[in-house]
Amino acid sequence: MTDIVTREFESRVKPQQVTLTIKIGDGQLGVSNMWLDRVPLPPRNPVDHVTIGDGVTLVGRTLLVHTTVSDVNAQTNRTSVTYTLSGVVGHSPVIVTHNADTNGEFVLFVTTFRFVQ
Amino acid sequence: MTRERRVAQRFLSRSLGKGDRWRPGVWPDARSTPVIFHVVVVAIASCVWGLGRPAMAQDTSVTIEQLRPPASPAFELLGIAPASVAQPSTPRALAASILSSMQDQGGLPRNLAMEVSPYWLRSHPSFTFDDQFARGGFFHTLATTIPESFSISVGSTPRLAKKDTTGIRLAMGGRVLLWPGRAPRALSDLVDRYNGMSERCDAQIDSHVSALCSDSVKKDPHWIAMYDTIQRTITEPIGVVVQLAGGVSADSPLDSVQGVRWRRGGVWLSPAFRREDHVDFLGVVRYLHDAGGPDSASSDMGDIGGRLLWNASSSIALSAETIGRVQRTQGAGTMRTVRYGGLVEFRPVANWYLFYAFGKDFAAASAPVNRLFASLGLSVGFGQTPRIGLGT
Repeated sequence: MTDIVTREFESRVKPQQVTLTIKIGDGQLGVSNMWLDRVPLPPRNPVDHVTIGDGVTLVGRTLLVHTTVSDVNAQTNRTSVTYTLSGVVGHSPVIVTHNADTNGEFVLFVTTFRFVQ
Repeated sequence: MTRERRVAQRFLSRSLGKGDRWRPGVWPDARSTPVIFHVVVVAIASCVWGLGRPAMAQDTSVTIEQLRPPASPAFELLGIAPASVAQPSTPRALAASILSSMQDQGGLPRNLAMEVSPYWLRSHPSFTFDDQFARGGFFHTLATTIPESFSISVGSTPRLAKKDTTGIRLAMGGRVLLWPGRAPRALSDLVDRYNGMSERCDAQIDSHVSALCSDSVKKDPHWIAMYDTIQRTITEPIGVVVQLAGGVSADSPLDSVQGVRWRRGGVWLSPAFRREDHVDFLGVVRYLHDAGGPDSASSDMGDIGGRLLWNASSSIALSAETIGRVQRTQGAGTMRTVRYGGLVEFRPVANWYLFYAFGKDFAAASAPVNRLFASLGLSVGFGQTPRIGLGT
């Protein structure tokens, strides 16, 4: 059964472009989808310096990121996702980890970034 | 699949291939069938020329496959195949395994079987899927591959020496992938299609709907087939792949660290090269030292060999291999001998293999002239193609 891992972060934006990079670690495979205030952003995988918006306009808005990781690495059941936001103050990158139950299992990382001034 | 036996399975699959699939070029007497049951229904013309004395003191039927670095050098040196191997995946589990093995026995453990991959004792968020293959330059690849693939095996077994059944035999070994090869061209497309299926589920904003969608994807035969193909492709990289293994064993007649005596040591090196156009070369180098004991003389044995395989089509494979051996046994001098041969395989349908092998075997102390051999056989496999468990 697919595990759901939920995390929420508050990001203090700078007056500049905010971009997001997502890295799937532990030798696993994964894909991501993003919503800004529940409006889907165009799917783009891998997520590498994808522009979310200007920092000033993002204040008060919420970025929801779904990352589905598939445990394909026979060496470990660990899964990890690294979110790197540029244009924000502090706590970047953010690393979220979870142990899949079995090989071949999916893990859904639901990560929310609330942008504040 | 649980964590158990993962490290060894990865190495095994890199070195031996999956047991359920056609492994062209593997000699019939070396064919490992751990999962699917094969029966050789015809085996004719197994002829011996020369001396015609099959009984030999030394192992003369060794093939290239058997000289490859073993998954667990410690178990190889002990000559054991433990049914249960502890494979701790966290530092805490490793400490618990070590402590329990010592406490259970009140001293040195008598039946220890443990494999540890130190790198995978903790999470590595910076290690990506692509890092499993050669990329980013020579030194980057070395720095990534060696720690990731390094594994340690430790084992012990009761010592069985003539007139002396006390004590234990201990062994420790290590194994590492020096060069990982590169990803086949087809893997990128495969991963894209694979990710595309999970991307559709991931696009559901309701996380529970998304998770349910993922659960249903896992049961999709198309997805399962793709998952299996990715696993297989990971374990069969293209280009240069180099593996190294080594280990030592020691006897402890007093069941303690006092009086420990080195017994055996071994080093295995296997450089291989695979092209995407179905040509495959495998080289092997093995050195074994046995210090001897109360019931045996000391000996040294060195093997070097190679195999060239050509998959002429999806159902026909041709291979040729040769192994040179130097063996020195205390009191018996030094012997040099060569084994060589060819193998033709035809797979008319899935799980049916018709093979013809011919060549010249090693000479041995009891049969100093090389034996010619030829065999024709049909191997039939029964059972379902095994698949890694995907959970429920």
